[in-house]
Amino acid sequence: MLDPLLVAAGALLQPQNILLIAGGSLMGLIFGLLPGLTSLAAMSILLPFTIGLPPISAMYLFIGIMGSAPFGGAVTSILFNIPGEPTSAASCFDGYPMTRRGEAAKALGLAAAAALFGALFGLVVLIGLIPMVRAIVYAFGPPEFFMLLMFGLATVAIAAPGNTLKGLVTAGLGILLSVIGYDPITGVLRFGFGSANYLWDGINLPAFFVGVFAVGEVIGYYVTGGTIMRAGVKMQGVWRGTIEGFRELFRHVRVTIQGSVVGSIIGILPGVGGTVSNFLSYTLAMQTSKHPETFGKGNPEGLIAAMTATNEDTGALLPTVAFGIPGSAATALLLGALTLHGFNPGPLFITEHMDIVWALILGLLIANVVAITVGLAGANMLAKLTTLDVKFLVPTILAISLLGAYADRENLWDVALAIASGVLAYGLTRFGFPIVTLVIGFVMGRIAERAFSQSLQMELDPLIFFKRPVSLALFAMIVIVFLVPLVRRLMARRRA
Amino acid sequence: MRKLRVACAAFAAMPALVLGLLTGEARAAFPEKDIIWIVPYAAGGGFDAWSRQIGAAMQKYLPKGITVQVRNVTGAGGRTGAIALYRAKPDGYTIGLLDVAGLLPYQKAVSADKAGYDLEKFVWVGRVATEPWVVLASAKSPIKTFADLKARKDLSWGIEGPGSTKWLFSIIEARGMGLPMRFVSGYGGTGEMIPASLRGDFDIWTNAGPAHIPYVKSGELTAIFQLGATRMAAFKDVPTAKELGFDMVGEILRLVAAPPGTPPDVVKTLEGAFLKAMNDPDFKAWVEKSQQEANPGDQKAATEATANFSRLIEKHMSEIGEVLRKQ
Amino acid sequence: MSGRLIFNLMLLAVAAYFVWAATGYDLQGRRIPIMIGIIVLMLQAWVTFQELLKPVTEPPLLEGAEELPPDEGRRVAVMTAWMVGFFALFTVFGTLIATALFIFLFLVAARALRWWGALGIALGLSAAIWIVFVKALRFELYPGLLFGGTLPAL
Repeated sequence: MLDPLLVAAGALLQPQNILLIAGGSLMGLIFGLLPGLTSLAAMSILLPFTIGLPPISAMYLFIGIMGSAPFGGAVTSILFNIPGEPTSAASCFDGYPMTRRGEAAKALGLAAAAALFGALFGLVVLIGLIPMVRAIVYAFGPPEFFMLLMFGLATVAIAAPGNTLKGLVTAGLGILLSVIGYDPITGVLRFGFGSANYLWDGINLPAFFVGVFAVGEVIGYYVTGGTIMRAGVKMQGVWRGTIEGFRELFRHVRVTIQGSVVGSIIGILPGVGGTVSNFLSYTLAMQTSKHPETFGKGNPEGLIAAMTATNEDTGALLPTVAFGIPGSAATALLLGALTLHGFNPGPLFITEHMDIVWALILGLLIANVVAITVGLAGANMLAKLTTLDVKFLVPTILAISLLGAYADRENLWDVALAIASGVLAYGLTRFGFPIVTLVIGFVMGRIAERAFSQSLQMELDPLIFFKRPVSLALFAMIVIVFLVPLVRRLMARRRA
Repeated sequence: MRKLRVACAAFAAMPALVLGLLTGEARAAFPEKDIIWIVPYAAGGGFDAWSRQIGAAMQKYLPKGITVQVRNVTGAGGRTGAIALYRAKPDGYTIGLLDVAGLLPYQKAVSADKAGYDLEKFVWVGRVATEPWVVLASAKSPIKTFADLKARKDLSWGIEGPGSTKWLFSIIEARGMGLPMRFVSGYGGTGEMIPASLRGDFDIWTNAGPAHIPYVKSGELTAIFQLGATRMAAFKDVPTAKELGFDMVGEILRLVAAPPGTPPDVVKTLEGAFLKAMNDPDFKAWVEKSQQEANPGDQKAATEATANFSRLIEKHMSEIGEVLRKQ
Repeated sequence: MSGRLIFNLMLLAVAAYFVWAATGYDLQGRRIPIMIGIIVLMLQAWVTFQELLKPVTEPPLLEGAEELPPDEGRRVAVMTAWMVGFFALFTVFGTLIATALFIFLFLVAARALRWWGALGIALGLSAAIWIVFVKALRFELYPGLLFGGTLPAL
């Protein structure tokens, strides 16, 4: 066990690897920052460059990207209300109001500290759960997966900000939009509008995300004008603000741990991933708080909940490392990179290549440290932009975001898709429809339907959901989640 | 007067001479710039890995300074990339790796016009590998041999989705051998199907490529039979369909192609570099280390392989076509 | 008819379309879209109905939209036109030229900077994109129809 650790640590001291992990972390920060460009895109782009490198070096590069991207994404969420990565969407809700109050440095510091804590927690969970990985993967089949997604949808639908009815409408809309494309159950291209190729894989997630968040927000900037930081507010000092941010983390221990747990667990389940975990953590924090109405107005707990749950990459490493099976798109690429270097990752991966596993763990730690130091410094420089008139931000942010929308698949139509989604999103927000539930419905809709149909295909038995213990337990939790607010209301009425 | 005529003649001959020199020069000088290699699948996948390794090896056998740049053009199960290759300029600077098994049935079902590509018009450069399909079951299941399969009244096959290659070969295997078949579909790829198989979501499934090999070796998956012409090195104890009495050979066809109309001498250059790359010692070391099996072939071999595959699916076209046309 | 009403009706129409289109698929393919579509239809019908009854005083959810300018509709239209224009530039001239042109034209039209300042930012950002993507990452940006680009298959 310890020998491979020494090998990995020793490799870390080689100048080539130091450069790689630093470069990877920097890339992760930048790609995390830019809306539309994800850490996955960065990894895909750098893949060919790694062919000549030894495998451990390639791993350091990739994990550098994966480790620092969450904070990079949070920077734009907090400063501009535009998530740089799908995993940092929930950081907008309370991070952005803090920026408007002039507390950008504090928000950034808090986000960095929360992300680091989440990552560390995730690593501990990762190492601890390795012996149990198979049991977990075997326990979560399609019926359990479906129930878990329903649980997620239920929690979020109930806690949607604003009008719940409209929240459900947009959630349903999101689900309908997610169904567009090739259906792997029936083999039919549904709702293709005559397009046999472009809509085959459905509405492209990064382009849709860029459209809904970045483009929609930019339209809002243009309409309202002014500056991001409220006029008349003084921006707090960088050093003071950052330290205050760090301190704030320790004042909310419960939320911090809660968010880290949610992120780790969701990350382990293949396919669901970070987009869901940060929303889920946020709404869970809101529901369990004594003052849910303060969420969305700059409550640090909201930011903590959102950022600690961005550790799903660590969770996704669990099946990857223990099984040789990818837990997320990024880890799939990691495995692909290993194949490129001549490995064939399988069940014995962890015993035969423990040094690579240690490299991933050490690399994750270092990437987070780089994010906290370099990332924070860069972010605070960017924060100055919030004092500028938005006239300058509109064209630049728009151009960068649409470039991100294009870059994911190098498909021109994705740019048009982003623009159209942006106009839709602006309309939704303008008329009181929450776009958060739209995105959640979109992300979860199709995979939930697929899990549902798969479950029915397995045993040809519609009661399968209630015959398996884990699935039944999850169903019970959903019922409880729906009942609790009702009971609360009833009891409040009785008291009154 | 004579001097003038000679001068005129020489002058008139000059453009022809220059042209002759230029075109001859150009043809002899291919390739002069980087070659683009299109991969219709995502980075990190099997086709992607093969392409990058072969591309890197090919660079050694091309003029110095010429690189092979891999470009992933994904979408529509590989069709977007195939269409991109089909429409590319046929000057030899764009080639690609195609999964013929994934592309041919669709084209036959909806016609080449609607599909956007015609596999018979592509100019083949060579064959990379022909990995045979293997039928697998979880070691925990009671199914161990072909006889066990035959005895069952109901069999659930795991696939990614109707229209995918796993679906196609499940049909070829089940219908060809008279086995019951119903599907559990919706998995995102082999990576999701391996744990699903071990978990017991479905009875059996079929796969080609190296992904399942470590699991068979460790005893967690059982290989019931294989569809190669001969037994694979990794599965020496597993009977082939032929040995079981069925005239069936099913393999993934990884073929390198150039757009229709690429001049034959350019293709010859590419083919030559390709074959040398396939026999390059570093490349062969990678193939062995990653537990794969290459099966290099030239243009003729590639054309033959496509024709063979076409014959294999002919018998099942009505069933296959019906599903594919709905897409 | 207020814009709000039109938007609500549009959402209703979208839901209706999905339900109608879903009837063309077989049981497994249509059950979820039809079910969700009908639920959305019902909920949205109720929302639209409420909108008709009492025209809204509820504030929009836009962060910072305490006071929306009176010419909001025009502004949205103008912004949309700018974006469509950007897409057209992008398609014809490619990523780099479109980015530079768009930023330059926008900043000048918004009278944010003098022409040389706008030009500086436009060229600066384009150059940064070029250095990072084309030179360092060897990533291919869209060349534009004018320079040999093709339209991807629809």
